[in-house]
Amino acid sequence: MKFKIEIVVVFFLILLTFRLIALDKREGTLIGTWKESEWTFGQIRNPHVSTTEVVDTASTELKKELGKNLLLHTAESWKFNVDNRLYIKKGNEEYVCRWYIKGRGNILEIKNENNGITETYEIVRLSDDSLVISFDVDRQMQGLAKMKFKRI
Amino acid sequence: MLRKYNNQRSLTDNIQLGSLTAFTAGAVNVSSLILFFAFTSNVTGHYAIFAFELINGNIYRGLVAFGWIFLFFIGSFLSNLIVINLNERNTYIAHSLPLILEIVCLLAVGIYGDNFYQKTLKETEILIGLLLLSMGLQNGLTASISNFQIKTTHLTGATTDLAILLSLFTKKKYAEMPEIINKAKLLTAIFCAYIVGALAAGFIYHAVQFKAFYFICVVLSIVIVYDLYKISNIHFSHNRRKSRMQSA
Repeated sequence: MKFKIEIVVVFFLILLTFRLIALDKREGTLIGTWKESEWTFGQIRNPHVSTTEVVDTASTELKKELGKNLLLHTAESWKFNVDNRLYIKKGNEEYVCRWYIKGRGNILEIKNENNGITETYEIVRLSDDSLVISFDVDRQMQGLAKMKFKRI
Repeated sequence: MLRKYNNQRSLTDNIQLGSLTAFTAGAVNVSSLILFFAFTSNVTGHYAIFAFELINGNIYRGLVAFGWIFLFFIGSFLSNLIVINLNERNTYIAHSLPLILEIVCLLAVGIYGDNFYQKTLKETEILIGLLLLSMGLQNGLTASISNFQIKTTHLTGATTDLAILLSLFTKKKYAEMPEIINKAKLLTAIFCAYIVGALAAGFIYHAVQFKAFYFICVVLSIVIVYDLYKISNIHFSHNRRKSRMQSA
């Protein structure tokens, strides 16, 4: 009898843990329209190490080079929809992608449905009014690019 | 593989059980890394993440990491609870029940992922939790029935043990000790199986995606069915001997 009670308690604890995990609302925080406010580029690979720069440290040429093959390059605004659609506006053009948050909520995966290319970024910080993502740069120069967004 | 307990187990029993379960652990870990960007066969990294998130003030994110650690823990707890409570009634059932529960968890991940997965974070975190629970069940079982000799879901301790054993082999008096040789054989088998499982999952992922978990379940079923076959063979020979004696 004691064993049966122990088993029931264990299953109850398992269900309780899954319930706790299911309360995650991180995706909801991302939904909305974001505008790029700052780019930084550093040799330090750790995205969580803050640099002292508070302004855009990446020059236009550098941004062009770093984001050459990336969808985010020169994007004006990112609109994350509830249906996992991401609308990226570049001038008069608008790209529709799919977005997903993976890992422990620290990976932003963006899939361009036109060419099938998937890009992944690390979410460094996400709050109601700011989003910071980073990605590794391995072409010509090595380091970590960090992009900051503000909600609009 | 599952019928014997603690010191009754032979080296072959341990190598067979260790290899097959290490293979599944390697496959589960790589599959989850590719599918969910998270490790699921060990929790050391999750402890670090738990602390890291708390330091950064992300209390809920820390709780999610803690939830995953807890699921691995409760899996191991449940395994041993079943073993110590059912062992006297039926050793085979006591040892195979945690593996059946593990198969149920892995099948749930495979079926859900294959048919219903919308890639939401909630789903991802729950599926990671299920995989950690299954690995906890597996590790708890193998460690429990082998007197802590077999731990297949993480290789940190095993790497340390193997390094110590290899250093012992540099001294002749240790190099000839059968228990050291046997331990080295067991650890080498576990390492090789884990890597083969990881590589197999990595190679088949693009073709099968979530169906890889069905394949892992088949490997685990071999462990259960193998012992069932052995038990039925023993029963068959026993009954035949008994009927021969009766007729004589």
